[in-house]
Amino acid sequence: MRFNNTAILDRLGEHGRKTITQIIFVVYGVIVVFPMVWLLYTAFKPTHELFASAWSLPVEWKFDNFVEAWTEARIGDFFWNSLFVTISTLLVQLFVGSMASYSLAKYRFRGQGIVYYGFLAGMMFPIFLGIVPLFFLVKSLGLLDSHLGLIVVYAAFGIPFTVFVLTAFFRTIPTEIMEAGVMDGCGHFTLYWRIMLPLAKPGLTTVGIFTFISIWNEYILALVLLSSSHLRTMPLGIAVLQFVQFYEVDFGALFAGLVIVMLPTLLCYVILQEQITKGMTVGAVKG
Amino acid sequence: MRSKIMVALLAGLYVLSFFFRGQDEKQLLGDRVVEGVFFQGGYGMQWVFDSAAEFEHAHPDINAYVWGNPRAWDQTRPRFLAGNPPDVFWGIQNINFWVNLQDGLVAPLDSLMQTPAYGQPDKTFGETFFPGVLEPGQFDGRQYFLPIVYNISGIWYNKGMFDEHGWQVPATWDEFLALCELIKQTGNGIAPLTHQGKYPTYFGGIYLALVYKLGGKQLLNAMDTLQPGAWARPELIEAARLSQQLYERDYILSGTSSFSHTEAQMIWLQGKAAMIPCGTWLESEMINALPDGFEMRIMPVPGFVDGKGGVGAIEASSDPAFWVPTDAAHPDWGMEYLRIMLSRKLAAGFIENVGSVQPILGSTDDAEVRPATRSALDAVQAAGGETFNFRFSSWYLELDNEFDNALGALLNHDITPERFVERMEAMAERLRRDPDTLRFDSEPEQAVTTKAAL
Amino acid sequence: MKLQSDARAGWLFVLPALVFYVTFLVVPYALAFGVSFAKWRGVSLHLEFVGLGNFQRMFGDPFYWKALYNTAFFTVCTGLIVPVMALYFSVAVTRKLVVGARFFRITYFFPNLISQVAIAVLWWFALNPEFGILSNFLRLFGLADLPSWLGDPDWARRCVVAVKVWAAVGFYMVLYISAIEGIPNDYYDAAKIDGAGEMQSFRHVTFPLLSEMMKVTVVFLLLNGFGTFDLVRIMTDGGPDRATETLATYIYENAFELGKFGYATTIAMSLFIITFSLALLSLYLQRKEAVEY
Repeated sequence: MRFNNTAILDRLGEHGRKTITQIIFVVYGVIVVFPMVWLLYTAFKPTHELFASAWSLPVEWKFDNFVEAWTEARIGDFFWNSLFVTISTLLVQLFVGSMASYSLAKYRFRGQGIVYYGFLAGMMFPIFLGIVPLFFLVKSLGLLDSHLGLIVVYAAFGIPFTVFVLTAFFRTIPTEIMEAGVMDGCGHFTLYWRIMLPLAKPGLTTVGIFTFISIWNEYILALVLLSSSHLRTMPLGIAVLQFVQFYEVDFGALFAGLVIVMLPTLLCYVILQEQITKGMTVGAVKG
Repeated sequence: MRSKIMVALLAGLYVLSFFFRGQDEKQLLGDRVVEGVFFQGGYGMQWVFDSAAEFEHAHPDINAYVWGNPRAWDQTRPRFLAGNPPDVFWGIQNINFWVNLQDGLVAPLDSLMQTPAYGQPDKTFGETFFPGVLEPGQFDGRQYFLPIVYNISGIWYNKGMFDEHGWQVPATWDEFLALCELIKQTGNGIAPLTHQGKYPTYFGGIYLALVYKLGGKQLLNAMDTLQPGAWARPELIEAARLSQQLYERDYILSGTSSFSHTEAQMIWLQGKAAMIPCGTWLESEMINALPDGFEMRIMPVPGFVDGKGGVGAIEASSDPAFWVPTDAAHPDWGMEYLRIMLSRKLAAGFIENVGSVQPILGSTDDAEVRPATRSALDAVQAAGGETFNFRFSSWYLELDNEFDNALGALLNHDITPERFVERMEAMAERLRRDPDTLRFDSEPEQAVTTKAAL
Repeated sequence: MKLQSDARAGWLFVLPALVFYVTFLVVPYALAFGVSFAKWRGVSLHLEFVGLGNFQRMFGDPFYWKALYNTAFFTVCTGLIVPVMALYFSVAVTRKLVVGARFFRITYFFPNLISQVAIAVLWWFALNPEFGILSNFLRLFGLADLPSWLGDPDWARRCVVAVKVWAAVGFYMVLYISAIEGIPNDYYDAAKIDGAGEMQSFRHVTFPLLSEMMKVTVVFLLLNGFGTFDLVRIMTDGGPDRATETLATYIYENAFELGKFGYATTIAMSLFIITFSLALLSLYLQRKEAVEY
């Protein structure tokens, strides 16, 4: 092997390179964090103050905007709706998806290849392709404009990813454990429920976290499948709030609403970021 | 450990969410409910709540469940498709009334029009309207849509500022340009004109007024009915040129192109510009932001002495607004709601609270009309009743969208006046060739407003 | 093991997922194929089949081509910029060139956690020429006569790309860092023995192993980019004058605003064909190259 030894950066020296890099990182860090910080403290300002001076810290830190967003703008309702829909979806999706993944990984039966690749193929189709027929399908099932409808659709759309990650996961669990279970007298379902599933916790966590984030923030399917205002999820609520602001010029509530939307996921991440990063590594390595 | 806490927390929140989820208020009201969904915008929602209260007063056994949304049509459309629409509806933006009619979504209101008016039993409901305002909502001889306001559009000016500087309200376009120049020279950073740049449809009011004043009623009819070549006429090119000229001469406040309507209007209220185009909803929309003592007055878009349209003609319209969906649970209650909402009593309340005029005879007598609104009514009088209103924006949604887009590009100097009319004519052609587009071949008589009415 | 060959049990486990999947994914997609050949207003179940009529209309529709161009523009720009930036950041962090790496790792990831809707609203404010932070920031430096960021067609497009990049980089940075940390040290030691400096060991050890990952990134971004909806709809609503219209927003407009469900599905079909071809293409290209040690 031959190495070229005229690299300019090597000449610049360790120190110079580090300084430039540091500056770049800090600048980008500001670009990432500042808008959110700005959003946060602006939410404490009344609207006219916002128009007067965009940057400045609030004269008084008032919670009025938050109260208004939570009650009048109904962000509170939407928060609970989102929570309900997201966790329900998670439960359904993980249960159904893990069963399927377990079977595809550990059982042998004719046609399982088609099923497996069939599931995976779902990840390649854009949501938009099916959205019109999906709307009418859901309508004919009587599930339109209901949380239940949204949950089953979300769960269905989440299956390909779930199967993708969990099948690989289950494959790594040694067959010996299954054999031990059988010897202990486990039936099919007991084996799955009591033994294999707990072992798949890391995989479940990975899928769970990704799914939680994507459902919590999901917009287009909720937009199409829900129409009653009391059922809205948070992204929908924020979007409507933004439309209302066009006419009522009360940006304060909109800002506060945005903060309420963003805060939970950010806080969870900061607290759990080790697990999440680990989960991503798992996904990266296995995928 | 941390994750265990998170899981427990999540589980707890999940259980709570079963109880705290959004409640369907309508269901809580029981069986006898009339539901109305209305566009929530410049007029606010108070007038809706007032009419709901009146309805419940007149019919104590029925609950009125009314709500508003800025994108009422977008948000409620799925319900129409699902077959459970509200009992009475008003939406703007992307709604195509006539297509809805074609699809059988709209109930005919003939029976309603024959019913005695609320509070005026000696007249039928239909007779209580200004002459000519019902036609725009009719199709094939039947009434389907009812108007919400008698809207007057023009250029609003800051009266206080005008008085202070001794500026005169221009009558012709040349005088207008001279005024703009004068304002510009005044120097203290006041721009002559601003507009709601993000929504070119507002400036469209100025543009279309120019077209009318140059080409007259005949041109307006031709454009509205998609006559071949109508959209490529020289008057349109001239009006486009004049529009761009305002930018070229630096009469428009900088930054205008990005202002939303509320931003532009707010900035105008703050005195950074002297004039702004808008309709009679302006005062009501900005009511919370009006500086103390701010006086606004309207002027028609100045015209041309040698033009085919009157110099002082002003845009006035009563566009279709309210309708009762065919599949509503209680269409008869929906109609009753309209009968009450558009009664003389509530129309007077509308003028007082909202500022704009509803086209109900006598309402202007019963109510205290605000100076701003009065100036609009006076302008109609001054024009000898010559008002105009383009119908294409109601009839041809895609043409209207293209008009907005192309006008925005024109004002941005992204396209030339020639290219502008090219695009418009191309879209008109596209619609002419499209067998699915519902065509309107004749213009109903313009909404005529006599002195008696006002 | 006997348990594993019990086909009935195997199928039973798979069944619920299969039912969900087939009902809500497969059936709609299959129906979409049919609907794209029809005109349908959605009011009743009456479809008028027009053969290739919708496709003809689509090819002659200037708005369609504009939306396609925009979508491709956003996707390609994002697909190129994000991996490069993520690469730079991940290498800098793993090479210990920055202080506070852990802080950056955490914060750079924030945008990925937030709803695209929230991001759109946030940047809609921040890019407001009057009271948005960007304009005010530039004014601090004395810059006047700033463009109307989202009101100007060219700037609006650039802003959409910038926001998309902002929202995506963090994720890939973290991913690459995990990958780099997974490279065994032996390779670096071997390179050092051969006299390699910082840059060279990057170029000859780190990069080849990462390039695999970067290719996957590009593919992923390409496939996802074509579905851009939330951001555009909220931040610019396709404007000004359709300068930021994407295929997805155009589909939505046709379906749910104009009531042209058949035509909307046809456009969606074209979207599918594009993404599918890209996916196949990338699979094929990936097969040809495999990093060998």
